[in-house]
Amino acid sequence: MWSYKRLLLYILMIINLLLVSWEYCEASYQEYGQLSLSVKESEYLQDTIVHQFDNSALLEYNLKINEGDIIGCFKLNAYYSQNYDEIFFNLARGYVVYQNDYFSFELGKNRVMNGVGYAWNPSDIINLKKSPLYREEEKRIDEGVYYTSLSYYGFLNDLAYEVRGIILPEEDSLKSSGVFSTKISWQSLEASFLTGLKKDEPPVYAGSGRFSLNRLPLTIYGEFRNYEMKDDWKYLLGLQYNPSSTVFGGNLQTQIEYFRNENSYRHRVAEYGEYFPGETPVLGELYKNYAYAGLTYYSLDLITSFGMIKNLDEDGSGIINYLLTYPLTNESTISLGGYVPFGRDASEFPYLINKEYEIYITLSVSFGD
Amino acid sequence: MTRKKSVLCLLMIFSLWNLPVVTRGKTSNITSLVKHIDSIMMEDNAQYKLRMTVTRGKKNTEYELTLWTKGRNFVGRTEKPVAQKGQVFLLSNNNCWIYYPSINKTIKTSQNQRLLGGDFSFADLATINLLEDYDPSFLDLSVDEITNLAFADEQLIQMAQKGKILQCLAKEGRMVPYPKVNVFLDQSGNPVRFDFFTISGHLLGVLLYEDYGELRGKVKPLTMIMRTSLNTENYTTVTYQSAKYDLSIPPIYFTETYMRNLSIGR
Repeated sequence: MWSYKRLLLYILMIINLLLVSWEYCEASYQEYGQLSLSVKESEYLQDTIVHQFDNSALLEYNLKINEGDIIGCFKLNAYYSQNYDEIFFNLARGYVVYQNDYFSFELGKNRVMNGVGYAWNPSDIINLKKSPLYREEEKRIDEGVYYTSLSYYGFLNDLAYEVRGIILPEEDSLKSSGVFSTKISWQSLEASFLTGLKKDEPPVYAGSGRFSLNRLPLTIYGEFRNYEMKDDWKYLLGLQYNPSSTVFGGNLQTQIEYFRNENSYRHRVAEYGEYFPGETPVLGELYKNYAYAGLTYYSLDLITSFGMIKNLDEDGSGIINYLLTYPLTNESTISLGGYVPFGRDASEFPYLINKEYEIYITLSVSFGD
Repeated sequence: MTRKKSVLCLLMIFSLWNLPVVTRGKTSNITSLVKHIDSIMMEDNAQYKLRMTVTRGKKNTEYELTLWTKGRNFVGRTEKPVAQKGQVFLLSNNNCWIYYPSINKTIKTSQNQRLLGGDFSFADLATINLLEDYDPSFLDLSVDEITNLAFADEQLIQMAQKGKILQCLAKEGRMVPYPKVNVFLDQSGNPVRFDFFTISGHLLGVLLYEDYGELRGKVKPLTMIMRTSLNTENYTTVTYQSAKYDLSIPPIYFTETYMRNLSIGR
């Protein structure tokens, strides 16, 4: 079924290309992308392997086709890892949109995101298993879900709203699911409410809210998710600060977040494995209470981001990530980044199990128009 | 004696009769000037294609943007460079968001934050409305005072002597990015320089309007230069490429929910 879905997308893309190349077609298209070359070094806790280097290359190719209100967006990835000695080809995105001032119809594969948090998005009931620290290389470059959706946009006085229905098809139609969402925006307040429906399963309810203060550069936000008839609450509370600084000459942004997971598999990886055989837990699934602090500084000379996630339970483990990006030219950057796990147990960071740290340098060059 | 009194009374009556006329005339003169400045700054229901160049010493970073304006709201999309293609910036009712296409997500920000790392903030591009938010008055500055201004040159001194300077102080209770704005006008009443200050008089930025010319039939400054640092080598230049006026831009464009749609088209 996965390959069948992919095949359909490739057919969709080829149809788009044929339409564009048709003599009487007035559609325009754009091709652009990025080539990234990375050198990664990991230090392991075992005596047998102390250091490991991995050179990798990622080529992203984007094609965008515009024919009035119909737009096709496609993104193809080719990823090579020296350690795996394999090239992974991946249609990261491929969707067609018809949109006007009131409606938007989408079909294909894309990221369908919900939520306002930075480290966690409990209200994102569509992408349940997402983490930048997946162990599998193929999953790490994969983006989005196969879906079809219809949105309606409108106003009630000053209140803007979007009503959206999303269908997420699966090979086994019983496993297919649907999401109905409403999103409102009024002055400094945004809120969304989602209901997820799947056959033979209780509905899942989720929502998010974000509110900015007028006098201070502060934003308060939060999210929740709950399965009907289940004591399975997940929620997040966050605070963002956007100071205006004339000293640094760039934009500074900081966040702190608290995440609580009532259904935390009682802190045991084995128990998680029983529920989800063959899968590894992602951040926030093993323990109950987590905290995150993040800082981003954006200027033309340097883009810096720093984040720390820590579980507040007995285990007390956590992870620090950092990324410094220096723009070389308009179309090229060089980045230095890495992860440093800390604490007693890194089992919920599967990508970093047995690692002391990971550090990487990436050179990225953009092309196209 | 009676005649003297009568003449005095007549003179007083004449003065009183004339006083409101003079004041009214001056007020309406300032009001029409401020209206003219506001109309030059940003059009309602317009779409612009513009190029933004951020200069930091010898390094220039270039962006191409599409901008839609409606009232005091604006939404912009980055067309170039490729790495930032499809990023959308929205300012609506004093709230700001940035949409990142790579993560399909919007991030809330504040209107004082800089746009694309340059010197223009969100507020500088659309929300300054002198008529609604400020009390304007004429300001007299001596040659010495003008010479001491940041980035003052001979051209500014000459222009200030021939033209006018308006001092605009924020009306009480108004939430504005700049509590005080001094506007330098040339002989024809076109704004050529804005000095933005804090309430304590600290200079926050200098915006220059240059190259007045026709932009789709309307006289506009085709180049805007913003300086937020006293370093003469650091500034941001915005050059208009094209404009469309009197459009009926749907209000939905200026909502957070529609940002992902604008990121790819329209």
